[in-house]
Order: sequence, then structure tokens, then C-alpha cells
Amino acid sequence: MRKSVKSWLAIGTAAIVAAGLAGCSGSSSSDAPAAEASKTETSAEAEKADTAESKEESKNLEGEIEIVTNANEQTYNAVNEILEQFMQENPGVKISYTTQGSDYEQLMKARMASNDLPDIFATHGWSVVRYSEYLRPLNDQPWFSEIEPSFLENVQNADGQVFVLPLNMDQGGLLYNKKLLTELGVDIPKTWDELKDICEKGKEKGYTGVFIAGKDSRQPASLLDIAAQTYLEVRNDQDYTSQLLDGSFDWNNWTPLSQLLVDLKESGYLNEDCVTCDTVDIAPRMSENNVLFLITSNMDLIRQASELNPDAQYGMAPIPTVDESQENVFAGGEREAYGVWKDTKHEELCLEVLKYLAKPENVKKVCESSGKRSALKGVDPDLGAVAEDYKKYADIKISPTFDRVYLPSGMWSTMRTIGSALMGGEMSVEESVKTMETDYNTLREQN
Amino acid sequence: MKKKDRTWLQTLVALLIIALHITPFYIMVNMSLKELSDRSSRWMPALHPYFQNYPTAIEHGNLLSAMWNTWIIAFLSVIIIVVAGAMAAYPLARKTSRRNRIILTLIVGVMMVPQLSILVPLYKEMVSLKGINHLWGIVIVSATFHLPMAIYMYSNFIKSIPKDLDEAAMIDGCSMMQSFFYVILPCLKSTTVSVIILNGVGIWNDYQFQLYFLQKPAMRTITLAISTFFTDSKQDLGAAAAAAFIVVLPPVMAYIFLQKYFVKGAMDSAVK
Amino acid sequence: MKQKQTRSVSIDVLYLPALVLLTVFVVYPLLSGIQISFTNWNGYSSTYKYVGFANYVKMFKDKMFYTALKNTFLYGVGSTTIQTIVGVAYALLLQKRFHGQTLTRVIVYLPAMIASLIMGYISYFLVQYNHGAINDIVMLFGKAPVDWMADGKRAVWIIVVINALQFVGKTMIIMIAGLQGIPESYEEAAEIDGAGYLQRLRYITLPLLLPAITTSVVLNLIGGLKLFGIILSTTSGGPGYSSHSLSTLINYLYFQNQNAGYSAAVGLCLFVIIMIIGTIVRRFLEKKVEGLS
Repeated sequence: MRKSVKSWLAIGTAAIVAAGLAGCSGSSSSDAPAAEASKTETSAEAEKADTAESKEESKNLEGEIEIVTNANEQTYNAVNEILEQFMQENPGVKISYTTQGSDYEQLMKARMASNDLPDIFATHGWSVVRYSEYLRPLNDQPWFSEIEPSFLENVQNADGQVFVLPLNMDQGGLLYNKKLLTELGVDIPKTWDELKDICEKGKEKGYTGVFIAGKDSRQPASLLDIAAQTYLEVRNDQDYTSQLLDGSFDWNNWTPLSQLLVDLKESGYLNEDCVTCDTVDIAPRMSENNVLFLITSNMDLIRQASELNPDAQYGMAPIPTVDESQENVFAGGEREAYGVWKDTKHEELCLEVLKYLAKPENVKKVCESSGKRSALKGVDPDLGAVAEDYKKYADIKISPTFDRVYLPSGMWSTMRTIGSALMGGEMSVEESVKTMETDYNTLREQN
Repeated sequence: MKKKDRTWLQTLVALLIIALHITPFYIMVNMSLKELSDRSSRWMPALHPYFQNYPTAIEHGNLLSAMWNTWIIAFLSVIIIVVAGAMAAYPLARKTSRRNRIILTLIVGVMMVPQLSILVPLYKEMVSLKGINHLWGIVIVSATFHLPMAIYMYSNFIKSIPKDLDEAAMIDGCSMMQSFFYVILPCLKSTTVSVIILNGVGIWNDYQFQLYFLQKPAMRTITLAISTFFTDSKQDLGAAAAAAFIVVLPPVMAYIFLQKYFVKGAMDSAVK
Repeated sequence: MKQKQTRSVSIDVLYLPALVLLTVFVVYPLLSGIQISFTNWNGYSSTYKYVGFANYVKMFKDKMFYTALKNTFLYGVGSTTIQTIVGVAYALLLQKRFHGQTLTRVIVYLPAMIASLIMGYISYFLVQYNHGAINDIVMLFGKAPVDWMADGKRAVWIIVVINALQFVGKTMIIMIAGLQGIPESYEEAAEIDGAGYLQRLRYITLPLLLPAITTSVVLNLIGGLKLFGIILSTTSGGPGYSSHSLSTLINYLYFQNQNAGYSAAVGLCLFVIIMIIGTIVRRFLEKKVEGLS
């Protein structure tokens, strides 16, 4: 009998070790108020640091910092070059810079959960809604006044605070195949109905109307998100946006959007493998020259397709509208934008790095590598094939990405679910609307 | 006569089986030798092999350092697994008290816990232990999750060793502890080889833990390196296939050369 | 008597290192997972509320959960069945000497050396619609290409087959080992008694192989129920949510849906299911084995 008591005791010790650990991490929930306090502290410190910096411009910077992004290869290489240059000029500085690709969001959530963030990180469109509580406000920085005024609302919170240095911006709209449109003898579609007509014409010739790589559920969600700009945001007749913001939105008004996706699918305008195609196949498929349209915010695809096949020439146009009278818009938002973790141990160094990145020649480099427009004034990047289109549509309004402004954080994933399920035929239009409504209400409550 | 016919038929069936299982490798290697703009069928052999994919893969994926990191992690984890596993298996297999049976059942139960179901709390815990981005963190977690499998295999094997063997040793004046070290341990060689191979390959191919516990680029392991090729940011399938082929090579070579040990180990662990 | 006691205490010390590791890195997180399952934590924020059983109530009403649950069983049972049948067949074929026997064994086992994530990516290039290797063959016969993974039910079965074929080598090796443990004299005796091949298989080989089958069924079932990497890389759970397993659903809920509380509840549910099935299968098969000896 005694022996078992003794060894149960040993097991008990193990349990106590575990319990001890429980105690440790349990205390982390009390971090919240402390974090609040430190926020105000950092901004005070920042002012001090700012004045100190101007005096010590020539003084050597030192320290080791981590910068993380989800940039694609081209953008990553451009930023990496700039950072290496920075390290050459400041031999005491070591920067580890990495891109995490599609695992980035998961990784950042895990790191937020443990309040263990990189010194500088890319916010992939979420600087305000998701990351602002972890970021140092940057309105006091010299480059702040350089941010394109029309772009500013994308990265500003209600109090006018900005948490990131935006380098370039996303521009979402319609990609069309120049050659095929000429062959069909049609113009760039102005409305969704025109787009469907052209798809029908193309279908007769065996062309894919709209291409979606739906294995990644972000793709159909992105179509819904971009289409929502004309279906819900820029309406002359209705004021859906303020309803969405105050919670009085009648979700039946979402029906046309879900219906659009279902119509495209059922009329046979989407690619046959719209639910199984991987994103790695987008550019190769575009290069085969039998895709008419894509609805995307990744304008870099134009360059990628023409690299694979110089004969595959695509152009960019604003989002089709619901009716003729409506104003044309693009969807826009932050792309490569870097914020500074509010609890970083190297704040001064981090701010210097951002200042360095914000130099016009560096922003230009990033924009050119990504084929995207600059988010800072006074930069004139050479955007190659798309440059013409950018110039042509320079006066068209760029409205901020729909879900980031009008939907509570977390709805993006609902849109991914319904988009993918609608195309797969697992959800009816009514069910999808119901799902949107339910999640909207729960998430509003939560946030 | 009849027997010879049979052999011929067997060889034919074997050829079909080989064709079936070699296909993924063929597709992988073939893709790795084609340029992205080459849109020929995936079956079509690359007549003008494009070897540039390989240096690209090694450079972009940082494969050499990734393979080194993975090797170190696998090596250290396997040591822990073998030592702690063999030690734990002995009392659990030999002394079938009620408590030990419960513990063995629980350990086998842990074998079934999907890593994902506890990833979040585990990550939180590792942060408070300061184990993120440290070699020991990933090693200890990998070892822990592969440990139950090793205990299961060792205890199955120890059960198959006649009890007389250690009882004889005990009559000769050995304590049970001594009989473990001098009698049982030497018998475990073959099982140890298969534990090493099974777990080594398992850790080499692990993805989830490494993704969360190793975030520094310098510590990136092979699966992490590979997954970066398959994101929408890098659309270079040729280099991706080349990278996949390179990282698959070491376990494949190890298996080909250690095949005999493997089969023997499997025999030891599977049949009680 | 007393001497024996101290001895047996000292020997149990041997499993303490293992036990401490498992307690700290598995049991403790599992317990805090239970705590999380009663909250509405979004996975990263520092604040959350306790919501009682709300996540569990939601689970039992969730269509996605039921689909994933059903698929988890299909992945587990389907792969195990295929692996066992094909594995035994391969073993019977490959235990006898003939030209290329060793080579065949090596190649059947090879795919098990690949990370399932990578295997999934390769499979994608086999089954994809446009340019997929399988469709190239289909088109060779003048048929229209098929979008293999577009139908959720078919996608699940294709994943089952891919997973089974990748790991069938493992089962085969265990079976060959088992076959080698059967004394040849048994079969010879039966052959002299006039038993045909199938009869010998049914009454001698398979029953004697049962211990090996038990081991591999348990291992395969656990592997199949936990299936994750290969689903992510072939379909990401799609189309829609039709090929999710509970593992990928957990991943989805936590990282994409920002619903860590609910995700933890599903995780717990998966854990309980696997525990119960694993224990039952093991008990059942072990009894059968014991009954034989």
C-alpha cells in the first residue's frame, strides 16, 4: 500500500509542476490595463526620442530588430535590398527580415495571443481594426504629412491616429484580356450586366468568363468584397453604408451579391475548376489566353501573365457598376505597410528604419517591384504595362476596401465561407445571407 | 513449370504496383526539370531539362540551412525519445499493476491527441517558458509528441522478451533496475533502430509545431521552407518541385540503405 | 516482502521523465484547452468572456461540424480499410522470392517518407482539372476532363485513397513481418491435407496474422482520424467546407474564423472521439488475439 502512495506522490509532483505553469500563464490576462498604461507612456517617450533624434542624426544606431511581413517575393526582395542598405550605413544594426507568405495571419494571431510581436511588422490591411492595440501611433513622424490624402482614411482610426507607414496600395477592380475583348468586338464592360453579356459571347467561343482560383477561399471572398463596392457602397439611391455601421442594415440587400456569384457559376461563366483551382495556377492560366476577366486586387498578375506569355496582355478597369448612372470606383486599401510594436525595446531604431523606408527613392523601388501605386506623395514609380491604365483612371475614386470599413472584424472569414460554399453549391443564396446576418450580429456584439 | 509461370505473373503485378507508387515521384522530378512557361503535359518527360530550378530552389528556399536545422532538431529529439521511451516502457510492460496499466492506456491515449487540438494553449505555455525560437523548445515538444509511439513500441517488444530472462537475473542478485540495464537494454537494439527511423522521419516531415515554435528565418526547417514555395506569392512550380525533391531525398536515401533494419524493427514492434 | 516493495517503487521511477514531459506539454495544455472552450476568446485579444456551454450548444447545431465529423470517420475508417486490405495483399505477393521483389517493397514504402503536406501538393498536380496528370490520361481516351475535387464527397474519397496509398507501405511491412513469423510447417501441413490457397489463407494465414493486423489497424486508424496536412494541400477543406476533417476545421475556426473558444470545443470533441474509438478498437482486437492463443 505504502509503495503506491509514494509513487502516486511522484505523479502528483508532476501535476504540481503543471499547475505551477497554469499559474504563470493565468496571470497574463491581467495584462490588459497595463498595456493601456504603457500606451500613453510610449507616446510621451516618443516625443522625447524625436527631439533627441534630430540632434543625434549622425550618431550610430545600434541594436537587433525583427521585421516580419507577408509580402510576395518581388516586394520582399525590394524591401530587403533597402534594409540591407540601411544596415550597411549603420553597421551596428542587425535586422532580421522575413516573409511568411500565407501562414502570416495565423502566425501573427498566435504571437498576439502571447503578446510577443516582432519589432516591426506588416499589417496586411488590418493596421486599424486588428493591430492598432499593439501598435505605436505614428502621427508624430516626419513622413506622416506625406501620406496621400485620398489614401489616409484607409489607415486612420476614428481619432485620426495612424499606426503604419504605408508604402504602396492595393487597387481592386476588373482585369480584362485585351486581345480577347478585341476579338469579340466589345468594349470594357461598364456594368455587371454588360460583363455577363460579354461572358455569354465568350462562352460560345469556349472562353472562361471570370476566372476564380477557389481552392483558396479568399478568392471568391475577394470577388464579393470588391463587388460590394458597387452593390452596396457607392449607391445613389440607398444609404447602406451608414446602416451597416449603425447595425440597422437589412441583410436582404446582400442577396444580389450572393446571387451574382451563383449566376456566374450557373451560367457557366466561371472556369470549370472554379472551386478546386489553386492560386499558383492563376498566372499560368491567364497566360493561356482564354480567360476574359478576373476580379481581383492583385494587379501584379498582369505582369506575371505577360512574363509567361508576352502575347497575354491584360488591362485594368474599375469595378463594374449595378446600373449605368452609377459612378465608377476602384477598391483600395493598404498593401505593404509597416507598424512598430508598442512594446518594442528598440523604438528609436524602429522609427529610423521607417524613416529610411519612407524615402521617395525607396518607396519608388517597392512600388515598381510590386506593380502597385505609391501611398506617399511625390513618388512617381514606373509601373510598366499597367502604367497606362493607372494614368487613364487617375481620376477615378478609390474607395477603401469594403469589409475593412463597413463590417466588423472577423466577417472576412464569413465571406470566405459563404463564397466558397455558394460556388460549391453547399449553400443556397438565402442561407448565405442568413449566415452573414448572424455572424455580423455576433461579431458586432463581440467587438 | 507451373511455379515459373507464377513468378512471371508476380513480376508483372509487381511492375504495376511499382508504376502506381512511383508516379508521384515521377511527376515531382519531371516538374522540377521544366520551366514554368513549359505548359506540356505533366507526363511528358522534360526533353530539354531545365536544371536552373535546383539552384533557384536552394537559394530561395535557403534549403541547406533548413536541412541542417531539421537534422539537428530530429537528432536531439530522437535521443530524448529513445532514452525516455525505453526507460518508461520497462516498468509499464513488466509490472502490470493497476496503476501502470492505467498509465500505459493514458500514454497510448496521448498518441491519439491531434497536435492541433492543443496548439493554442501549448503555444501560450511555450511563450511563458521562453521556448519560442529556441532549439530546446521545439526539440522538447517534438520529442514529447513522439514519445508515446516509442513507449508503445518498446513495451510491446519488452512484453515479448521472456520474463524468465530478467527473473533469472534477479535470482542472481540483480535488482529490477539492474536487470533493466544489463539484460533488457541490450535486447532493445533492433527496436531502437526502428524507433529512430520512424520518429526521425516523423520529425523531419513535421510541419505544425515548427511553424509556430520557430519563427526566425535562420531556424527555418524544411517543411517551412517548402510551404513558402506554395503560397500565392511565389508562383514558381518548377523550383517548388525541385525543393520538394531535394528535401525528400535524405529520408528516402536513409530508408533505402537502412531497409533491412527497418523491416526487422517493424517485425519486432508489430508482433507481440 | 519489504525488500520487494522498495524494488518495485524504484523501478517505476523509470517512467517519471516521460510522465513529466507528457504532463507538462500535453495534459496541461489539454486542460487549459478545456478552459478556453468555455470562452468567446477570438484567439489573440487580451480580453474575453466566459460564455458557459454556448460553444458546445453551437457545435451541435453546426452543419459544418457534422460534415467534418462524418468526414473524420470516413478518413479514418476508409484509409484503414484500404491500407489493411491492400497491405495484406501486397505482403502476400511480396513475401515470396521473385525478380524485383526487393525493389517493389522499397518503392511501395517510399511515399511514406514524404511529408504529407508535400504529398498533398503533388497530388494536387495529379487531380487538378486543367493540366492535371490524371485528366491528361482521361483526355487521351477522348473523354472530357473531370474536375475531380469539385464534388465534395468524391474529394473526400480521393483524399482517402491518396492517404491510404501513401502509407500502405507501412502496413505492408508490418504484414510481411507478421507473415515471416508464421512457421512454414503450418502451411505445408495444410497443403498436404489438400487445402487450397484460399482455404489456407482463410484458416491459417489470416488468423495467425491477426496480431500484426491489430497493430496496424490501431496505428492507421489514429493516423486517419488525425488527417490534416494532406487535406490542406489538396482541397483546403473545400469545395465550401465539404472535405474538412475535424482537424482542419479546428485550424479553420481558430485561425480564420477568429473563434478560438469554439475551436477549442471542437478540439476537445475530437480528442474524446479519438480516445473512445482507439480504446474500443484496441480492446476488441486484443480480445480476439487473446482468444486465438
